[in-house]
Amino acid sequence: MEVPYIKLLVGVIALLPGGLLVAYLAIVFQRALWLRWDRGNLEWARAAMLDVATGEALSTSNKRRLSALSPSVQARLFNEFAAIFAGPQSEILRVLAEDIGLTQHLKQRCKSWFWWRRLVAVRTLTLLSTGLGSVEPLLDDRNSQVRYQAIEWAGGTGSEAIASTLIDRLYHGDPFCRYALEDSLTRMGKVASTPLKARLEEKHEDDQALVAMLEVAVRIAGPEYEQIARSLVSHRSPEVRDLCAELLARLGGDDAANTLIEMLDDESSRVASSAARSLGRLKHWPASTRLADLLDDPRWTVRNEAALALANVGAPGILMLQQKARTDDAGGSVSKFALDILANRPGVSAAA
Amino acid sequence: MIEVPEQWRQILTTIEYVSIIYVLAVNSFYILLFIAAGSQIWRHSLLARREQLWRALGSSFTPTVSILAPAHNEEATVTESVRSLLSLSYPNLQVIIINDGSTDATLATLQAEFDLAPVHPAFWEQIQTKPVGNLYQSLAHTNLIVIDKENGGKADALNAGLNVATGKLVCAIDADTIIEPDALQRLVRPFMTNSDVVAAGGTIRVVNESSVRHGRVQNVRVPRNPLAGFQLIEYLRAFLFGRLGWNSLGGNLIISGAFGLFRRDAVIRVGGYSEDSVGEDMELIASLRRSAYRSGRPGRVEFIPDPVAWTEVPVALEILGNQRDRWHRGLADVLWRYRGLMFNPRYRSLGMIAYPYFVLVELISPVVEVVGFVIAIAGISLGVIDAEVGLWFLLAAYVYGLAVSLLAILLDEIAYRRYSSVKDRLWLVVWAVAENFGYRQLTVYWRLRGLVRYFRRSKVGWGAMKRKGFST
Repeated sequence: MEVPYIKLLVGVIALLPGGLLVAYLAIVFQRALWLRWDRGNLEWARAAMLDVATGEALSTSNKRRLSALSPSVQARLFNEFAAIFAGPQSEILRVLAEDIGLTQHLKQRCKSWFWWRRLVAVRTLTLLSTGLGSVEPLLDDRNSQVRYQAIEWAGGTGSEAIASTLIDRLYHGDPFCRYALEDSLTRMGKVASTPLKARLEEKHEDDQALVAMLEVAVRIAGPEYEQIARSLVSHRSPEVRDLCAELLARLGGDDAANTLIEMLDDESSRVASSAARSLGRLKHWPASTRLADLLDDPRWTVRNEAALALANVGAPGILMLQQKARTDDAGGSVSKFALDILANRPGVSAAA
Repeated sequence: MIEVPEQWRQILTTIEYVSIIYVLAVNSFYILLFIAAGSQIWRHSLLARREQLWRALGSSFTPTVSILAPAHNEEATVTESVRSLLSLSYPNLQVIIINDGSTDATLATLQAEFDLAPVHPAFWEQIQTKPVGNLYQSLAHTNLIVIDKENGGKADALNAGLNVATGKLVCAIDADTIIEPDALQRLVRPFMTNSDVVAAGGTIRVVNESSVRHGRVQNVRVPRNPLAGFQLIEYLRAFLFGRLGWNSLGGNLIISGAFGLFRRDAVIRVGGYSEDSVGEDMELIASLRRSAYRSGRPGRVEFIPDPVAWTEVPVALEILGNQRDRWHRGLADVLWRYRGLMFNPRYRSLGMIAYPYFVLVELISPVVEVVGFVIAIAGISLGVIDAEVGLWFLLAAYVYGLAVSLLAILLDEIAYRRYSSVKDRLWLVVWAVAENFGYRQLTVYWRLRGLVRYFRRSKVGWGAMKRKGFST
């Protein structure tokens, strides 16, 4: 290779770090200057917002100054404050956002062609608990992140129609948004309960859709789900049976406890463990003898959950654990473990 | 001038051209990595704007995370590290410290600081490990468990932690790592949004000379110690440039052992960490990904740039050399174990892009650098290679290396701005320029030594890392 070509190559390559260095220094110094310029504005706006949130009226001139700030600075401020205020203070912030035109601006942004603008707009509208009429179309957004955020927003709306939409989405599967769907429906609580029950009562081909809906039902745990849970305890999927055990534990009552005792014989270790854990959570002491039998179960998870459940049940369970702990077999080992865990609980005086 | 036979002249010229083509190919791939990393950073920084992480704190769907922190003679830093772990903003958290046969006061320090009570060691030994002596639970923080076991190495300690852990996800860290309070909330995101993710890693940053108070990094500084400064640049390059770029180009093959989150069932299914590998973190990822391709189960590995963990890097040449030597031996070992992946279309991007890159660039680059340098010197001395061309080429290679470092610094400045003072940012540039004069050559030597030791099958253990403790 000829020297001039190499020199040219080096020269071209050298331009790269030179350019980068200039860009880096420009950004560093621009940020330092911007920070100094911006700090004053932000400090004033924060103080004004704090006064408003604590009940003081905002003067017309201050309102005008707040309106004059760029929408991104406004959004930043409202994000800061909306995240820490609740109740009447949130309402004040929402009204202020309307007054200075921020809400309108964000609603417009929900229609933006750029996904990141739609995303930031929904995030701020979620914090301000507003945006009805503008955010709903974003539940079907082509960008999964925007869709995810719109679902989070929906969790705060309290609308049964939106709850039904979310349940449909959960039923038909949106793998990216499953967590947001489940979380939002749980936050909606009673509003989501009726449409969820109707969906659960249908026949299901897809076990995963059923699992997703049961996970929400477990968190809402309304008495309307008891019949559904008991009808699904013999479902083909261990995951479904496991969730039914958990749901029954949350609902409580003698019928639920008796069903759980029957589930201790389930062939799946996952379901048997879940049933044992659920009985412990219910502190259902009549199940102690059945749980004590499971201390000799060949499956480790079942033995361990049975021991922990006995520790939760109270005096009869602890007595059985103490008896078993005298042996050196596998059941004795999990019994000692459960008694030690119980003894270490705050407020428990050396139960073992 | 010695008369060189035409045949030798031809050989030397061919090697020179091969070296030039190799350097150009590698650097072109770096440009591709930069483009991929840049688009990822841009996307991540847009996603992070006005993000409401606190929502996950109140959700009953947030998965339980068990943090596994192996500790071997870590008495200087273990208290601060455990405090940092206990103060993480995460709702369902279990912290498991595995005292891997420490000969110093690691266990005594933990007992004194965290009020440990013994618990009968009953757990399902799904992965076989060296015997566990005792299990302790903290009375002050009931989610803190300490496992006291015989020394078996880091992988064995992590496997013991996997047996005891109850979380759906496990976070493997080094005991001297300080995790930022919201880092777990950020790192858990891919598991909540994508059901096929089995592992995710965050960024590791250098904590040397920054102050740590109550388990949190407070005053972030660029170290003035040259060795720490050079490593800071290396970490920026590796995490913001390399691993982020790999997210788009075939997926990552490395999640740092100092801070990674995994699905516990997936890790147990592949048999946990390999005890006979020095590169156990890379081995685990390779194993998870290969197993996913073979079984059709989920196997996505993600690198997320914004969850940050801080680590103290060695500032003694000998310790640093041993560390790099061990890393390279680990790399060689894992690549040899998984040689069946090389250019195997069954493993798609892993077999066709990621694995070949690690062999052809990461593994053999110290050899190519040394051979290229020796040939250049020989060629110039014998008059086969034009001295001026050789020098210009060397200069081009260094200038290009500098450009890569500056790009990493620039990405960090645009997206994360961790260093607030202008002085600190200028120090970053100083270290990026200075590392080319001596430090890079040293790392080539250490990596080459690691390779030689690997081929000679030399046995070297964890390697002692003398820690100073964090400055407060």
